[in-house]
Amino acid sequence: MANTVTAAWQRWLELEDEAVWTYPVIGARITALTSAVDSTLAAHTTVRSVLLARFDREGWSVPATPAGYDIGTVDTPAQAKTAAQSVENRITAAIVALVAVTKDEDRAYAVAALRRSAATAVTWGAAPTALPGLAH
Amino acid sequence: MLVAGTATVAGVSVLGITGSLGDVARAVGVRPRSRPDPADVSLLHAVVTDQQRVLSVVRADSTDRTVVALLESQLRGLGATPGTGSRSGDAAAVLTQAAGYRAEDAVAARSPQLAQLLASMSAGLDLAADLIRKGS
Repeated sequence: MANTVTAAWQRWLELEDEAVWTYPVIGARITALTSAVDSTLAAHTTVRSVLLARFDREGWSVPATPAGYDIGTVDTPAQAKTAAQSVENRITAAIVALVAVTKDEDRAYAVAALRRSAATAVTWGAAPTALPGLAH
Repeated sequence: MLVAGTATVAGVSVLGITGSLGDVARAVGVRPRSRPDPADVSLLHAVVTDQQRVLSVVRADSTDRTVVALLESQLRGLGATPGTGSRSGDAAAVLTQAAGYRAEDAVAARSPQLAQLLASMSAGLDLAADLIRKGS
């Protein structure tokens, strides 16, 4: 069970790493999105820091960070939004998975993060869904 | 009022619902054929009632079909049939309040699958409230 719980936190951290890598690329290529990139990146950087502190406290293994990620072509605002939606939707799904293996304060933290993540995905153009992270 | 039907949410199949909340609760139990936790049965009953209330307010206060469809989808995800009534109220405020309730419900749920569903519903209700606010 402990491994399952740790794996769920690790998956979320991996995706926060990807987000922190992705948004600067978007900002560099699509200057019209700089403001949105800055606010979203700041939020992800904060979450990643919180997660890393948690990993440190718990003595969990921090997942290896790849040198880069394949986010597809980012030459237009539409492509940038697609890349952003992709990582945000995967974060939302990862947090839903975390909800299932946590309780009490940890689950409350995950639920709050899920609500923020779903809202961020919509900010980047994702269609609102009834059950973010679950709907197929 | 629950009806026969099938809903699939993140690998949880709510199958063969024939008219009692107990059937739904069994379907979202931790293990197949396991007895549902009485607390989850009560919680599920309360959630369906509250979601019907939210839907009735949105029907009366907003012409946004997207939000109505979102709420109907959530009720079907619970195995319930969306109601057709309406009652006065501030739709955006009611949606935001319900999002908070569902977040608390998710933390309280005993079944991991029910926790996931309620957490996701909370995020979806936030998105619905935002749609109403942007449309007004």
